[in-house]
Amino acid sequence: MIRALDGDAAAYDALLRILVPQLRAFFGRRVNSEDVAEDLVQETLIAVHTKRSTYDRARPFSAWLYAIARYKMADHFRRSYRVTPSEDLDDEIVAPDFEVASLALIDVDRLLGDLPAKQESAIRATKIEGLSLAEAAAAAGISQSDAKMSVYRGLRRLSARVQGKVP
Amino acid sequence: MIAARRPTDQLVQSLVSDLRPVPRAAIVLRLAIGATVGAATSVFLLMLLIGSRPDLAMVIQSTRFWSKACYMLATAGISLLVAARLARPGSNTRLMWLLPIPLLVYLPAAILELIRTEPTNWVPLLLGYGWQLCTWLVLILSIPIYIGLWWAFRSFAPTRMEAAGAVTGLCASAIAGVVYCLHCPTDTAVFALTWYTLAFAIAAIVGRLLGHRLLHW
Repeated sequence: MIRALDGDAAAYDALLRILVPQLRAFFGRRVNSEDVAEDLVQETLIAVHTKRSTYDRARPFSAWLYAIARYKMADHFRRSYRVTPSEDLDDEIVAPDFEVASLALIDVDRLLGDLPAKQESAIRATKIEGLSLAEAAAAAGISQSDAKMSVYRGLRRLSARVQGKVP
Repeated sequence: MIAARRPTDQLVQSLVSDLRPVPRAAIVLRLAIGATVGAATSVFLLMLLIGSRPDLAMVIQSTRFWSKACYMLATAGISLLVAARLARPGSNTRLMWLLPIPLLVYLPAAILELIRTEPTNWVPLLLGYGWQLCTWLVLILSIPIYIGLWWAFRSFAPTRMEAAGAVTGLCASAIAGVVYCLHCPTDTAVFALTWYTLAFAIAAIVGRLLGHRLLHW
């Protein structure tokens, strides 16, 4: 960084290229969305560039870098908190209801446990873990149409059981 | 992911091609420019509005005048130092403890004045000449300096916005206090300690409130 401050473009290029994966890891651990993390990486890189005069050559570089990264992340959360009030609000209201949610989870677990293993894993993968049909099929090592059929049969069986038609 | 990586690579390339050398003392230089231009504007404003005190040439030799001026100068100097610290992200701000030192050094002078004065004369001592104006004039004169410091901070990266805002406010008002010494007809410590410090406090509070909005980057 010190060589970059004196105008050494090659050193600067090498530095920024090292920073990219480090910042990706930093933001990847802290925000959910990959796109948001990548945006933050870019914003931090721009800030590193435009604010490079504020780097004190006598002090550790990483402290300076992560102070910028943290500032950018706090800034992001402040902004997104302001912009999307209604959607997130629903989640926030529901989320504290931990007891109901965990009871429901126990119910789902019990119901799914009664299904054949193939149907159970197909439903878990697509409906609970949120994978796509193709991803679920690949993970289970079966064809896509097979996975689709398993989900369908499993759900039909579950609904019958919940309605009390099957003991 | 691959699609997202490409713009980042391009960004790195464009940043590298935009690289210019940065002088070592960039922060100090910019703060000095901002403060100097602001202070010059505020001297000009003072001369335009009310002019300097007529006995300036005489009092410039008196201890009282200089102890008052030194209170402002020391506060201004220390707050500039702290501002330079706060300009950098993630650097420690232990220097902030230095800020009240000028006040603590000047306080005994004020107490000594009170002891030497008859209690019946305490009120005139406190009010001096022009107490109604002092605080407000200092605050008005601090505006151009605050703008100068704000200009300097635009290229900085403060991460503690409230502290940075408060210290720039304090710094602007302390420099304005030095400028106002050219006019202020009262040199007693009790007077200066009360009304100038009131101006410092107001400026620091306003600066703190504006910190987030004005210093955001």
